Amino acid sequence: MTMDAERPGMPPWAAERDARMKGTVQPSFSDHDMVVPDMVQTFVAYFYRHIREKNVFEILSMYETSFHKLTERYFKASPWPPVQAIAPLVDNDHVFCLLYKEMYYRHLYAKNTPSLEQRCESWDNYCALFGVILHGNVNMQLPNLWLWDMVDEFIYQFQSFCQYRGKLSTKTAEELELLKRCDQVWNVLGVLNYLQALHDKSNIDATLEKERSGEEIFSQNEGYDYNQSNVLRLLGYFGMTGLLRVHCLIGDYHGALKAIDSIDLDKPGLFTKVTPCYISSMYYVGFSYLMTHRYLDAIRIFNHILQYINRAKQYHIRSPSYEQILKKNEQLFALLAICLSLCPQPKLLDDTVHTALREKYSDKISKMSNGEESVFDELFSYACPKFITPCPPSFDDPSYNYNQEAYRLQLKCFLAEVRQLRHLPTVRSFLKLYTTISVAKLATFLEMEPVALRTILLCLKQKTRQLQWNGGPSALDGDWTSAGDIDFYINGEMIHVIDNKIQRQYGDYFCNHILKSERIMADLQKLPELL
Amino acid sequence: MEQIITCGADRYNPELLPKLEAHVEEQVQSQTYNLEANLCLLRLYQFYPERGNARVLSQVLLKGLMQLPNPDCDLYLHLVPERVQQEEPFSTILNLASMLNGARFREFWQAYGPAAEMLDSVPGFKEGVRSYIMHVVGSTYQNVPSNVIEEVMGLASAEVPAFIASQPGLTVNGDLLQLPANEDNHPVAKNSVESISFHQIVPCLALGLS
Repeated sequence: MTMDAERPGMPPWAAERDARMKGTVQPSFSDHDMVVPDMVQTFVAYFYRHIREKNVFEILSMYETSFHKLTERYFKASPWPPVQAIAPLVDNDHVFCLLYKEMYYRHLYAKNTPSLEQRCESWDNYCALFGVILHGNVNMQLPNLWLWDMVDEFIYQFQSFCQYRGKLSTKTAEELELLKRCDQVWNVLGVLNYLQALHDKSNIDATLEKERSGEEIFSQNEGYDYNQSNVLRLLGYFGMTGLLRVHCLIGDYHGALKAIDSIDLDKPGLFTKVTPCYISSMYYVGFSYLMTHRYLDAIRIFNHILQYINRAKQYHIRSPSYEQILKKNEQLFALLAICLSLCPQPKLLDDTVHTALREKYSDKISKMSNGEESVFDELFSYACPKFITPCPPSFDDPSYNYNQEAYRLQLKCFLAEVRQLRHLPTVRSFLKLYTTISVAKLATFLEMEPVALRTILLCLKQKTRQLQWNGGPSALDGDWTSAGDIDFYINGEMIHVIDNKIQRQYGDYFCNHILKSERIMADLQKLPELL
Repeated sequence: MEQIITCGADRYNPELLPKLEAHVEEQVQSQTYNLEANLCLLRLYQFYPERGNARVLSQVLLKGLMQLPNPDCDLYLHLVPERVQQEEPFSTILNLASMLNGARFREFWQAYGPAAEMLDSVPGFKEGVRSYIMHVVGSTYQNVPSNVIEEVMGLASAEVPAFIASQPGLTVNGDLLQLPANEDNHPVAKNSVESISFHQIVPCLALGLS
């Protein structure tokens, strides 16, 4: 692999690679065999006009609704028309063509399995698009949702390429040869550098700082500013959440949380206004906390976002991302179940979340609390992100499947921690019964040597100490705190137990039931009128 | 160094590898520590496995262990491929890490002997680990039997008095050693009291008006 530092901009190797590939791969379509339906022609022309006229609301409605309607009607199984077929309708506008291709490839990835050539073309298109945005003077106003989707899709395609590259055994010799030449396509450094460059160039850190001190308005206007384009600023903002995700995918959880230093997670901000961004960011933040053993923080984040999804999902039933939202919702519950089994703190949960969690997972939580490792394995594997191996596979041994490698490593690290905690629930449940008990007596109950028990007690004390975020500028900040439902200390031979009584909070419960009973009474009173 | 790492895209620049490796050596020799720089280095090893340096990696992991109870070593291990973790000396380090994490200190000292050459090549390693163990013991015990100290610190009985003298705040109390008081070994019950905010009952109050 060459050491050329990747810098954003049109990659110099792209043209050369294309020339090499032309001879071997047949283009999948030509301009002539594609008739663009009238409705699609009209769509493209209007879409172009609205983008030129910076009509954000129209752009959003065409992007969110019309595009999907036309897809349903004409392109359910086939790709949208190639860019050559629509270019004449839009004065061959360079930037519009790049945007069109962005949507074209996104649709293609969603409906078909892209070929290597298409993957390369989509990468080149992102390079060109980000290049224009970073170095050109773009004056567009685009909907935030689209800009978020752009970053999200960019990382998804990167992830997809890593998966594709990792499976060598099913590829022909010819494909392998081509793949070897594509070592710069969807390269991890390239991806990270683009996200970082968008973030740096957008100066978003300074904007957010000014917003904090009240000098500038940013999230209140959802980042729109009629004097300047929102594109770079917003891509810079979403670049941070993108970095959060990429760092998570390679197993760098510290780097993941650090990437969003400039965002105040505890306050509403731009990220809370773009629903898929909100859900995705909280998922990765919570997951990073989980993997760094900060279960209290993970529970807080998961509880918060699950409450939000519960309220917000009804508004997204018709949205194309609805399925995604439901999937993430289920994964978040699974992660929350894991956290609660490792750190039994149900009082941190909101009532609705707690009830839903009990319905879905009470069985599994009790199994996990008894140390059944297979259940941890099952839930982790279901709910974890699709980890990637960021370096190219070794082409000398194509029979090896590299895709499992990254996932197995993270699973192994996670289960190692689970194993450390394995004995603790039993000891804890015994301690709960006493205010004082001698080490020797407890050891007899547990059928173990006092020496071994002392080790477990040290472990129990150590593992119930957790860093907990306590209001600080960075998500990495935190104070050490005791996370157990009981605490204890040892004085010589004697264990002293302090019960942190978890009192159920009845306020909300009674308020809800008063309201409910009142509603029922009102309905009953209406009954005679109906009869 | 801090500046090179935090400024923008340079964080991902492979040209930095030699500098970062030199910086690890510097941390080892001067007994300093830089988590961000080390993570940056391990990320680059992950991207360019052929450039990995076993000696540097083992130093980073040991420096990470010295930061316990902070999980720095765990953060590093998430970035080290499994097949590397299975090789020596990493499997030994992994084992030691697991013992320290699980407070299995007696086992740790038994395993220390055979690996002493590698472990002692990082100045301050033994002291770093002992101060972590002292922290764990100090948060669990108010008074600890001196034979327990002997065991968890991996000391011979003759070495105990000298060790006690070296620890500020430790006082001998018959067979027991009294540890300095802190909020962990003097925990107080956190009894939650429910407070109901006006906001919570507004909907119920509104019923009376309608």
